[in-house]
Amino acid sequence: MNAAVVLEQGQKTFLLGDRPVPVLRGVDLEIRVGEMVAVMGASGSGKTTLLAILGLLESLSAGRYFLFGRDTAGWSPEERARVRNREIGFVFQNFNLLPRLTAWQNVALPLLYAGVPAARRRQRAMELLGLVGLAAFADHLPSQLSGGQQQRVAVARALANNPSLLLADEPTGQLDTRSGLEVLALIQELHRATGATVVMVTHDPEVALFCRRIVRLRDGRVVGCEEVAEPADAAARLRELPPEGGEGAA
Amino acid sequence: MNGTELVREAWLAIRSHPLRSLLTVLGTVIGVASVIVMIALGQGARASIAAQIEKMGSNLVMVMPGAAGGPVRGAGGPVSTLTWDDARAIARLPGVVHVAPELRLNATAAWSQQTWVTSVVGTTPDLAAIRDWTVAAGRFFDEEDLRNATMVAVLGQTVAESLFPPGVDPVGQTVRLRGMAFRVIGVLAPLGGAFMGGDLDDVVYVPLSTAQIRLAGASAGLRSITVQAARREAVASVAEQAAQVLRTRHRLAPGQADDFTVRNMSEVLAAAESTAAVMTRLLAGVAAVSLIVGGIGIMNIMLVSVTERTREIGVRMAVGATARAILAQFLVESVVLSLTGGVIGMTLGTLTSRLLTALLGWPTLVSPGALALATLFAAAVGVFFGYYPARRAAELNPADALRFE
Repeated sequence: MNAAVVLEQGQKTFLLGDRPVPVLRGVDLEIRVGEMVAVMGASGSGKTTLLAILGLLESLSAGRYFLFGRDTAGWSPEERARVRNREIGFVFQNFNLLPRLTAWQNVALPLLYAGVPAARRRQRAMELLGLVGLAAFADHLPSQLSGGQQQRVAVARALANNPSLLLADEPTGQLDTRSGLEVLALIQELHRATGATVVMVTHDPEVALFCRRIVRLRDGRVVGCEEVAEPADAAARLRELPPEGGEGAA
Repeated sequence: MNGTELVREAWLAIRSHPLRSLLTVLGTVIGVASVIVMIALGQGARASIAAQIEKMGSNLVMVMPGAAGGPVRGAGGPVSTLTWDDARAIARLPGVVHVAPELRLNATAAWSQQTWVTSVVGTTPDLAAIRDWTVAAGRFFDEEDLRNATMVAVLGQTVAESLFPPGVDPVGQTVRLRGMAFRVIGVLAPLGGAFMGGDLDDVVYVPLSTAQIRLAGASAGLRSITVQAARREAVASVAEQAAQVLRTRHRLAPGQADDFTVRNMSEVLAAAESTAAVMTRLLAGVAAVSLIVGGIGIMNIMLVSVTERTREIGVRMAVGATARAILAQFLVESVVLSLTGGVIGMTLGTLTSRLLTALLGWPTLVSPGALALATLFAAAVGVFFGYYPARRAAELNPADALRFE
């Protein structure tokens, strides 16, 4: 079995004051290495919490989580930080770039915590910015970039340490159609090129159709799972869009 | 992430809120500046006391009548036990260069229609040698004047100026002391104010023999005997031997208290210095309290900063920052903040010290030690008051931190 992620009866309960609020009520999920999966559900279905658990940002209240065959249960905070750094990349809905750092410094952030020497960090960050088509914007601050550009910088950051698991939380949620498609095209291309496992959380059925498989979540449980016969191709869609005078394609 | 990078990051964070950072470190600035100024004032006072005593001569031993702390002056006053013969006996001791017995009395000096109430000191020419005095005009009296008990006087600058109008040369004039005519043979160069008050220039000096015979009476005791040792190192042994000689001469039985006091000037110097040192420490301690208050200001702003940057902390953790890395980041930031305040405070403190000296004439001394101490203290304040906020940041749950709005 070649599983990237195995969740067995994953439960997560938060405490609101003294009142326990169950968010995940026993999720069973298996994602194979190299898969591209969309997790869909209405707000409050627990999809963001699920992603936080898969990304080791949050730990389970009960149940087990195997990441690339290893049980994560006994991992120390340091070990979890190390795995986040080396094996997992995050893309957030609101980009989450650090406002004081330039584009390349943001991209280099995971390299900083990986202990990569300064000169090498800049070189690698420039490489990654080239990959997402933003080499010319390396010294811009996030506030000087458009939303689409910021999200592409965030994707570059997620890729800094060649992660084997890419987690995206509503990556197109704050973008217009064209920028959203650009980001999706980028993720699809990277998925094809690197073979990384991609898990994308969305509430938008159209966005989910860019993935190979859709997992549906409701009230903290997996309620359905379907294969997408022919996932949409974001790059092709982008070409169909009427040409626009704005920013160039990625 | 190495040290330089941590400091650069911290500096970036501090620079992104210039006004807030400045206000935050103001407490530390004031704290460090006041520590510097207080220590500078204390050490300046200490140095100036030491310099004055040094000027008086730290190789001197003062012998005074009466027991230390005992009644020097009562009703009628105890008869002084020190005599010229005591002084002569001390002069024969090894290691003694000069011995100047002094007899002091008050008298009215008169010239023409002018009168001036002043002190008359009968002494030997040794005193001028010990004090390293120079005469502005004429000469000091010599051994021959002493032997012959001549009626000559040397005036201090204040006395000369008070008795004689400008344009009249006092040397060669005759002044009356207690009604007796003395010929002025010299005027001393001005000496300035004395350590612990008094005007060293408001004195008339006459030969000791003359003073005893003509003014005070042969039985009058001495006010003091100033003994100069050959070297500073010999002072203690000279003091000890002088005391021994006096005990023998005064026929004091063993166990009986001294009827005189021997004071070693280097001991006086040490005592004055240690008093000043205690004062310095006290002042610095009070100033250090303000530094602690400044630290509380830093802690307050660091807590605000951690809250404001919760999202940033979440992002850093998501991309792989360990709790240690976050702790280090905020700790370094608070230390850089407090050290920045320290550097500004040191500059301000040094300038203030210079200003106090320039405008008010207070002696100050900014020593490298005080600067090092203040720096160390500022850094310690940064670590101490930065630790709690930094730990709060490091203990955040990454998912919660990312959700934070």
